[in-house]
Amino acid sequence: MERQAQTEASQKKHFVLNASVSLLWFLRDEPPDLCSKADLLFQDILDGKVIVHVPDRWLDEVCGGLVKAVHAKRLTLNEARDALRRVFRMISLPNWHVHYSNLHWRHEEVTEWAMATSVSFYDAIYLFVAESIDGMFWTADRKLYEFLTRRGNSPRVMWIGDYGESK
Amino acid sequence: MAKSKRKAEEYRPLTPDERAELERRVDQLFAEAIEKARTLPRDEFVKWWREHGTIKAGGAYEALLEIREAMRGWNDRRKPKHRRKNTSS
Repeated sequence: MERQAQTEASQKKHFVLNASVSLLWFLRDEPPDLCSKADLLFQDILDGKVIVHVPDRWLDEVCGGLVKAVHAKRLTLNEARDALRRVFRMISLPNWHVHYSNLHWRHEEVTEWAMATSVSFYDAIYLFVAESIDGMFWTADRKLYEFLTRRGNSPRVMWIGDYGESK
Repeated sequence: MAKSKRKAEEYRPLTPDERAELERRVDQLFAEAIEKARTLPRDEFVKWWREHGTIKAGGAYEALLEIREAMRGWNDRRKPKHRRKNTSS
């Protein structure tokens, strides 16, 4: 019983974050309902209540989103630089852990795992890291969330819109 | 993704001084944000961060979702059904 409680406590504290969540923190004109929930998580991270784990792929995705927004003229160069600097500041927090390929996860393993679970390779990296740390995976990608919950065998996936509701 | 009506910018890298100033400003912001995260109630922190911590722009979240969907190789739209041509004569 005590062990189960410890496991539940550890699952609540160790989170894997999708890049979609992180982009909600730094730009004011993103969906406001999701931003306010993501900000609650942001507060818990800054306060050290949550230990964050992201695959190295996370940074590729964040940078990709910023670059595409610049190309679409939704962000200026300096706004994107400002946002990126904040992203790098987050990475330097002591409770922020980046999981690197060939060190913390292997392409062969994730590929096998993706093929077995019908998710894309890129999504599987996040889920694989969540499995490896025994943590929850928070996403702001609604289509991914709905796909994973529809399958019914991804208990680790959480919708950012639900963050803080159990508190 | 809808394009904004902003004019195209000419690319210019930051000078070392501008980069140092950006780093200093963001470090200062985070030092303040960490302090606020520890002391403010949740709704007040969210309000403070939205007012003082965020950049007045957007579009990156939507852009990322588009990239993710393209990488994934599927979307919600169902493909139209094509009727087979009747080849029997």
